[in-house]
Amino acid sequence: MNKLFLKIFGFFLLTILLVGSALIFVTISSLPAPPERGWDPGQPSARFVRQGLIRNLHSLVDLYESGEPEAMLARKNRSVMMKNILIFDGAFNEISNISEIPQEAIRLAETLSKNRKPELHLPPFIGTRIKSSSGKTYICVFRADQLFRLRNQLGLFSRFRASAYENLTREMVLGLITVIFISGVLCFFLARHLTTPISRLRNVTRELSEGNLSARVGEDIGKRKDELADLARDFDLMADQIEKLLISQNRLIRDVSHELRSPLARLNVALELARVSDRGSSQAALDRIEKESFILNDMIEQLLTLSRIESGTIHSDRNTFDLGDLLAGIEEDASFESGNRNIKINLEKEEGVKITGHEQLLHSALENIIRNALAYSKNGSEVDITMKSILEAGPRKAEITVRDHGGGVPESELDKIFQPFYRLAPSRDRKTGGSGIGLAITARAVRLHNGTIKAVNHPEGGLAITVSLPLV
Amino acid sequence: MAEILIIDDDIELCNLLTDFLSREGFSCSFEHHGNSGLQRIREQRFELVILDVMLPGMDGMATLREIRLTSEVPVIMLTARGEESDRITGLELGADDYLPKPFNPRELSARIKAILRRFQNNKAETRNHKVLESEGIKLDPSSRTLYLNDKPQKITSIEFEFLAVLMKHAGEIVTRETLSKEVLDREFSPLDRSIDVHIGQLRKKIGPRENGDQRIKTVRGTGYIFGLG
Repeated sequence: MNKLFLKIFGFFLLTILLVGSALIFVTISSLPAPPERGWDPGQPSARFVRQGLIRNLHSLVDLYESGEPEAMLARKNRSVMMKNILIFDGAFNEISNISEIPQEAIRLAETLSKNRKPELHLPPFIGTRIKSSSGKTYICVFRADQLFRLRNQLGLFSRFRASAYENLTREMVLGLITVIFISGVLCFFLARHLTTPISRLRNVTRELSEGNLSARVGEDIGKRKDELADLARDFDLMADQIEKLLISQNRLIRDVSHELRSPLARLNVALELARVSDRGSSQAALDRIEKESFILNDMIEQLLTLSRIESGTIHSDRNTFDLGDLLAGIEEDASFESGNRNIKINLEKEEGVKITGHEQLLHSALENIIRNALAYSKNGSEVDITMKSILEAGPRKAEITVRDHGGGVPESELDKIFQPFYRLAPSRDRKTGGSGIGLAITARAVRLHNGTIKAVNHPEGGLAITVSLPLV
Repeated sequence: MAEILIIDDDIELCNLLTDFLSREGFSCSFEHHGNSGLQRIREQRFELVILDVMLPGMDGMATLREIRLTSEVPVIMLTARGEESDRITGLELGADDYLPKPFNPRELSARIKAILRRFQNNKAETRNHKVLESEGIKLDPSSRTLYLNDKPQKITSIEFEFLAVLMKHAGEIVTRETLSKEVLDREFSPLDRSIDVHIGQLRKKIGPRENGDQRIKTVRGTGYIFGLG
């Protein structure tokens, strides 16, 4: 999972949640207020309650008439709903045994007993006439609001509480969960749809920049026909162009170098012929020609090596070898060559460091650094080579440092010395010879082995080049 | 005077080389195509062939393969510098030596002389050398033939030399330096992989011992040893 995916996914989900919540809020606030929990005989719930209540009151008065007033009271007091209901018999005697009777209730009962109305509503009281099975009339008075509040509290209203308002909110909660779930799934696929080609594109870009010139997005983008697919196609076109350019540049270098060999081969033979027929009078000039021809040859070889590394067509196989032995061999050759300049080479190496790689390439890579150090050393000075293995995060690495005691390199130029044909200001220039490609080859060879190379000026003077190579 | 055939498409270079090598005491002919070169080798006996890898039409490798079908004449390949694969392929196909182009003509002359000398020495030596034998391998210096379980095997002259030196010192380590000196007639250089390539080819031809071990074992960093039973 990448950051963009999480961002898109998160934002979409958040938006849907916000919109959903806003929608519910607006819907709820535009609903009619929930019905008053009072006595409204017209309401279906009120009718239902009244019917149930009246049925109960009928059975209460029947129980009373059957000569068991105590049983009637017991039953009435058992019911929270009924225990506060006042019951008067036909002689207007209070039979419900309630101690404190509000004046309004008595007045309501009196009024009801005098006229013929079956029911009288005098808020907050309701009075109603109940006929027993024997035909006697009783008058019952109760507080409608109290009754309803009670029923609400007891949860007995469930069928009526499931009024429009409550139905709506529950459905909304359910709906909201469903919406979140479905939109979450949709967002996931949408975000993936958007980010997959982007991350694919990114991988390919990185591959390309790491030197795999044939890396293309191509089929991976699928049958998409949107802007991302266009971008991928454009990228592939661009990569094609870059590949063509680099390949043709590389081929040019290779072809030129190859073609230069034929005249050089002829030059060498002609030179030997000249030597034979000249018999000594122009030996100095001929030696010079031979030396220059040797330098030319060397440059061509280096250019070809460089072009082979860059085009990734290194032929020599990778094998495992002892890095210390390799360095010792180079040191021996270098000591031999620098002997007449009285430069001392100090090699300090850890034993038994094995590395897997292109032996010949690493040989010339390290040789180039050491030759470079020798070239910029004054006669009679020293070159220090150290090699040790280090264990950091990741695989074990070998660190090789070559330090000369020469004049160093200006700080601003330190990175540039690894560019082909890069030459420093007059102080470190041509007089030292060399093709100008050596360190460029070194840098590329080190990169080919997934290593790093760094040049720093040593605090006590001189240039120190450090190569770090993974030992896998 | 040793007859040398140069097969190279660079006409000017052929002329110059003929001039140079004739002063060194060789008699040179040249051909510019692989096919015509092959034709010449069939018609005429040469002591040595100098063969360029980069030839138009049939390239140097293909030409070498064709030459080896009929002739054991020593071949020096002129390879592109740095193209190590060329060298290895050339040696595997049976070239006796290689020289990267552009080369120093004095070096070429020295290599030619070394190969020719080796050939003459061999001829002289083979007469008074006894047959070498070990576990199904028989090396007959008089006919310069390798017999594997009494069946004659194709082997190039340089491979024969390597095997002969190793078998003469069977059970002892023969260093790369010794092999280079005795067989190639030059100083050993650590980056010269020709010995390893030749030994690799030899191993393929003589096969492992009955118990599956290599007959020629590598002694890391030193050289090779021809194992005794």
